[in-house]
Parts: sequence; structure tokens; C-alpha cells
Amino acid sequence: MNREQVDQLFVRHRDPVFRFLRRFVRDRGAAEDLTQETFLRALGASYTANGQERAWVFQVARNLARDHLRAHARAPLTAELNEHAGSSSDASLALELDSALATLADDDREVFLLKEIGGLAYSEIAVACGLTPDAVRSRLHRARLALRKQLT
Amino acid sequence: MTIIHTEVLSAFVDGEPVDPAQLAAALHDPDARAALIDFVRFRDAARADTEALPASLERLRQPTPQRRVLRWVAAAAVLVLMFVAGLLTPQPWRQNPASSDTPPQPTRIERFEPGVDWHPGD
Repeated sequence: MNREQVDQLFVRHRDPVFRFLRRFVRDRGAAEDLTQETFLRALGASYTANGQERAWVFQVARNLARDHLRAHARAPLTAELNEHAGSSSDASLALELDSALATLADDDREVFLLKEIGGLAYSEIAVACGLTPDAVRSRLHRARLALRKQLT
Repeated sequence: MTIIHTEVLSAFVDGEPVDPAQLAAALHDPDARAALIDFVRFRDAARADTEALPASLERLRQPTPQRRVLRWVAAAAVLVLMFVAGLLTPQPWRQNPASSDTPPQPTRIERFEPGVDWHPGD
């Protein structure tokens, strides 16, 4: 992809990619860097859009986030994630949700965030994570039940 | 509430295809319906993020050299240094008589004068 194509890709997907990365790696600065790196990886890549553009972008973001988490000791969940939540009740649940998400396995958390923050379909999450759509369905369900167990 | 009911509703809330009969059964299950409401609440909470994008993401930055490229550059630099060091290092083997076309320079010259140092018939 040339620079112009990547710039367009960046504008289309930077927002959900950043929000996904911020919740997944739990580090705003790292999420900003990883968001930039996600799209810079597309420069010179031989990828051509075939209806899986979003899945491809999130696959790169997810792999970078995984590498980051492996390379860095995980910082404790900070309140910064929810400084900008909406109404007070939403903010309260958002805080609790983040705390509960932090207890999930990376596999389950990433699938949940790809769905709820990224807005990806099961088929796209499957591409991004190297899973089958059935496995995505199962993991999402497992993650939701685990969250429900903690939050209700 | 059964696991199957909540799994069907989990997929349903995501807009994925579900079996209508299974969906009907799940929706008849009060506990599964409560789970469905919770799933929607979790989604709202997950998306309750109104923070504007950071300024650093207003535009895509210029790419910096990749680590792989830097590694190749470093390896090439080492090779050049080794080559230069090899040229500057003394090479005594090049003066080895066995490998030279010209004879070595004598370190001492002995001269014999006929009639002085030796006589015919001695």
C-alpha cells in the first residue's frame, strides 16, 4: 500500500483501533504508539482490500498488542481509562467493567473488546485472532458470563 | 437458565445468525432474558468512552527505519570495518620467501678472493 492509501486507512480506523488498544494494553501512551505502528505496518504491505480490511487492521493491532504485553510488565489498571466515561451510572459500570475485564484471560478479553469496541463481526474477529467463527462465538459467550458473574 | 440459551442470546445481541427455535426457547427463559439485558449493559459500558482522540493521532507519522533495516546496516558496517582493519594490519606472511617471486635480501655477504682466500688445487 502506498502512503496515500495508508493515510486513508488510518483516518477510517484509527479511532476504534486506538480505543481497542487502550483497553487491551491498559496504557494510553503505549496505545497511541501501537496505533501509529499498526498503520505504518501497512506501508509497503502487499495487502489488497477484499472485504476484510477492518479484520486485517485489527489483526495487526492485536498482534502488536500481544507483543507489547509479552515484552512489558503489566501495569495495574488505572482510573484514566474511565475519566471520560459518560453519565455517572455509566461511568460507574464502566469502571467496574474495566476491573472485571482485567481479570479475564487475554484470549477472552481481546475477543470481547474486538466485538464491543472494534465492532467486528465474528468472521472478522476470527480472521484477526486466527480462530473459527464458532470459537469466537464460544469465547465471547464465556467472557460475557464471566463478566456477569463478577458484575451482577 | 441454560448455557445454550445464553449462548444463543449472546450471538443474537451481536447480530449473528441464530436458530429461530433456539432463540424462541431462550427468550422464554426468564434468567436468559436477564442475561441478555446484562449483555446489552456491558456493551453500553464498554462504549461509554467519550474521550477525544489524542493529538498524536491526528495524522500518521512518518515511518522510522525498521529494526530489521538497522540490523542490516549494522552488519554491513561491521563487515566494512573488518575489511579496513584487515588492510591496515601488518601482513608478515606476504614476505615469506616461499610465496615470493624474488629472493630475499641477504643479511650478511661473504666475499672470497681467488688467490687470497683460496688457491686452485687446495
